[in-house]
Amino acid sequence: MKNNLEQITKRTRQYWFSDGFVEIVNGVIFLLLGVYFYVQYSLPSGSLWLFLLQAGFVILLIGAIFLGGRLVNILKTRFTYPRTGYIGFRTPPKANRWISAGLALLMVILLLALFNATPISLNWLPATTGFIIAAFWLISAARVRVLRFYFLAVMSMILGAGLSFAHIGVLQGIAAYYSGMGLILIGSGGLTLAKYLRQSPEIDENPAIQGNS
Amino acid sequence: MSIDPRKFADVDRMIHEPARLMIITILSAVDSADFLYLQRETGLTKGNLSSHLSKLEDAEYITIEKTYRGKIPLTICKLSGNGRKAFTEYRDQLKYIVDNT
Repeated sequence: MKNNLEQITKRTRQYWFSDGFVEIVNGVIFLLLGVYFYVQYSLPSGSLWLFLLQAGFVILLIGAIFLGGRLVNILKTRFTYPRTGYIGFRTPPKANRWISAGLALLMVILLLALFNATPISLNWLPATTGFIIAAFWLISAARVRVLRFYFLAVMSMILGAGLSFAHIGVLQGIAAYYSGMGLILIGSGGLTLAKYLRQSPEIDENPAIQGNS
Repeated sequence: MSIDPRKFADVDRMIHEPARLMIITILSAVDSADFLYLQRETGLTKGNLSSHLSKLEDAEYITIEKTYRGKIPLTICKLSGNGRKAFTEYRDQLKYIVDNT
């Protein structure tokens, strides 16, 4: 009873991120994106494989996000819900989703316009990517008050800016950014998962008793 | 500024009870939550939690769905439209009392 209501609500909202699976799965997607850009860099220009890879980027990305979401659910069903219970989160209203999609599209158009207007700014693609992804982590941190998301935002900005200043090339820079950020996410998620599993051992009792309300 | 003390009596007692207030607060932040989560978060015993859930269900503030995940029984609780409205009113009443005393 000692917990106040605000803390209960806060903890409930943070629950989705308490096991680190979201970061681990996102980290794997980032690593795969790193491999994707590295393969693009390795392929000779004008090759059929390069064309197919570039043409299929959106499909690969949407597929990875969809499968990633499914994987998080499977992992939570296997490891999290039996230990600390299940929460179904409210889906945001359709209007909010359209606003988010519109803002994302506007951001992409603005970025493309910026890079077209000033060709040298392509060197800053890793930094720009790092700052956009940092903004995502900062928004998430502010919404759910998970402190390690601030760390992820700072790491994203440092990594992106560092790679841009290193001038290692656009594709190599992007590949290195996604690979590096993927490893950071897996590390952060892995530590969170280890802590979660240590603090929440599997309940070993007669399951028939559970939920007899 | 002071308010009519009878305002205190208007507070919804179904929600005002601390354990049920915790349950309703949790359910107001999500779409649904299972028995295990509610038990861990509220710190109540199974029997106590079951009793409070039954009272909230009888008042039509929550809905309870009994299902299975594999072979494990699963009790999913959701705040109903009535429950959400009552909780909003309760919070407004409480805020009014706090602001005016």
